[in-house]
Amino acid sequence: MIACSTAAVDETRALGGAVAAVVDTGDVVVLVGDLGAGKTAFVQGFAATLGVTAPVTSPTFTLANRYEGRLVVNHLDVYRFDCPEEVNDLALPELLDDGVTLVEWGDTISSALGAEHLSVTIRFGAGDNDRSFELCSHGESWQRRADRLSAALEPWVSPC
Amino acid sequence: MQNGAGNGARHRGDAILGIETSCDETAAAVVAGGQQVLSSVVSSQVDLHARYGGVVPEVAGRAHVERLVPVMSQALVESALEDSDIAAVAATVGPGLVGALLVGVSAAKALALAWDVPFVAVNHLEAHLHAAFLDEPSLELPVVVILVSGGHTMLVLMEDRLRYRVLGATLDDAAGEAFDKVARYMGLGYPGGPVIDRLSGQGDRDAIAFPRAMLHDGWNFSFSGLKTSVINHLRRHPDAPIEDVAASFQEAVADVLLAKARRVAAAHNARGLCLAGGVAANSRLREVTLDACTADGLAAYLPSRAMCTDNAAMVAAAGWWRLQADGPSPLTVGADPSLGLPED
Amino acid sequence: MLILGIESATGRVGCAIGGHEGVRASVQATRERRHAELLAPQIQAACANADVSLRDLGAVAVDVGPGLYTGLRVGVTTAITMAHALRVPMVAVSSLDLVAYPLRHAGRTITVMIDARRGEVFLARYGCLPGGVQRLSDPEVAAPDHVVSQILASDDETLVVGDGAVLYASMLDPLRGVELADPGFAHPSAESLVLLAHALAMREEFVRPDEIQPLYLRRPDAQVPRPTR
Repeated sequence: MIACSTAAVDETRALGGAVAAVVDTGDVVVLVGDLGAGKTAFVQGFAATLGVTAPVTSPTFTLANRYEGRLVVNHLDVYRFDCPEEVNDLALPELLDDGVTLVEWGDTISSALGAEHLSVTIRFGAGDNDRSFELCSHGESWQRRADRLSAALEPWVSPC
Repeated sequence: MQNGAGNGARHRGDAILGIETSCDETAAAVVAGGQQVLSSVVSSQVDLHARYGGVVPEVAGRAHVERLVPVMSQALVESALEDSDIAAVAATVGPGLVGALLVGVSAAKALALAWDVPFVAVNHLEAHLHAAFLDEPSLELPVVVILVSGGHTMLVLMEDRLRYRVLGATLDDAAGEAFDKVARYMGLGYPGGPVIDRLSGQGDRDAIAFPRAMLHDGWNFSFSGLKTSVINHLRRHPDAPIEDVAASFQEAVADVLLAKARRVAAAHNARGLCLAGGVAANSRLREVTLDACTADGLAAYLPSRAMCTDNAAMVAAAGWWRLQADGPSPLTVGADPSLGLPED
Repeated sequence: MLILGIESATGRVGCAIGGHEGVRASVQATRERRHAELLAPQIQAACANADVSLRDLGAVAVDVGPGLYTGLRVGVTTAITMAHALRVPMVAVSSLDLVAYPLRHAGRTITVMIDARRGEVFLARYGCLPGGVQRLSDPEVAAPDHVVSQILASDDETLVVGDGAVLYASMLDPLRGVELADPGFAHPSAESLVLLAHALAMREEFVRPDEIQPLYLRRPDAQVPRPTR
């Protein structure tokens, strides 16, 4: 587990961008955090690193957005999905193999997302713009990248 | 042989069958001469998506396949025309959900082949710009269109049927999306627009001074900060009357939309303001548009709810104008989920 | 009876026209995510090559899957709309049947595996009959090791075929009594569709356009029982 903190939306974006530097097609990143925590800012930075130039907004109206950059970036919002069976309604197998997928509020359906994923939990801090992050690697491919991920997140790592 | 059917000799009128499947409405309509709506059928999927709190693309794609042929048949029956009276088939090719768009595009091409008539690719946003004309044939140009929906927010200066410029757009969330998010945070369910509109009727719109982002800064919009302000307010004041929060939020959205639309209208000598898109059904937005037009000596074009929300009559109308100007579209055209408005 | 067959269940998309004398014309291409651009021009080209007008058709046949959802919906929508507009009946055939059919002379059990992405395959087993194949198991979605244990349990000589079989060849190859079919047979083809559909049409096994639904298999309420996952 890696603990990080940011003090501004731009820093959250940069942190997302740093995570994107270690991903590849087929990867899944699960984002957990209340509305307004900064999940979309994280995805904006993430997508920018992967060469997405289109504006990235949260997929609230349509629950799955797709962006084409150096890699395809899928951005899903599944906050109302409460059982893994409903994941069938997202056609996940086709989506996941097609690019890098970020799933907001994915913890409720994480069993359907497979063993291999990175989970990012965002919490509100003391100030209006303070946020704390917990990044947990799940599965072999993310364990293998643990060192690269830690190095990429160096600027934001919280003192223990 | 122009296509597989080969019987081009039959007489065709000027009726166009329009097909719209860009998001969560399966729609078909027959419009004569780009103006006269002979039929317009819309099958809404809102009930299918409500349990997920938003439109699920895969669910939308599946439902379009199930519903499109019955919807199309009904549109033809209600138009009282025969298949052989249809002069062309127009379909929305973008922007929208790619898996949803593909259903309408595929169906329209199949009909064009089977009936041996032209296929016309239509831009969904351009179709919205044509919607008001169907309600108001005497609409005077140039007009500033405030195009607001779940997926889009833009100010368009329309100088002619097919000549327009996008002068402002949202830099983050669409206006409709802001309604959905605020409703979600307040636990009001999906879709958020109608319920916030209803609650606002019982609230004080001046109760909370939510920020008007970029009010004096250019013609673009930002609604993401407004959403965050509403959430922060509710976190600090959990007991705030939701009617007041809803009314104050709605006022902030309407305020910033109209402030910029009026400035665009003045700068370009527009003769009126026109609403388009699903959010145009919002009662407060209609009210402030009417007030602004009265104050500025502009004509107010407020299309019916049926014309504001996604429908295929506007697709058939835009298709008719495009067919006159550009001729048929090639059958090699695909769906383009991020298609922008073509600007001259 | 002239039949137009439309097939778009995998990365490939195509159509064919034929009847009692066999396939008259066929056009196919492999370009994933471009099915909607390709299919309508392919139908025009097939009509021209076969010197047929769409109005001469007696039926429209379609591959209803299972397969990749987005491409599948392009073919199914095109087919049902066209049949409706031409007022002709339809014939629905599964993609798995289409992959098995060209191997009908194999003389042993055929296991068809179509890539379902994310480490799974769509799957069904077939036996050979004179002039055709017979499905021995309902189509299902499963992990390839489930297929391996199924083959091991059956003890039959088995021919495995499909793009899923190509993808997981290294798991299947070492199994005793198992042979991998030539990769040229890996995809469902529009030609097979027309041939199979013609046989079904002769038996008047038609469906109406409004009765046709893509076979998704992963749908929660799918008619086919869900496998253990």
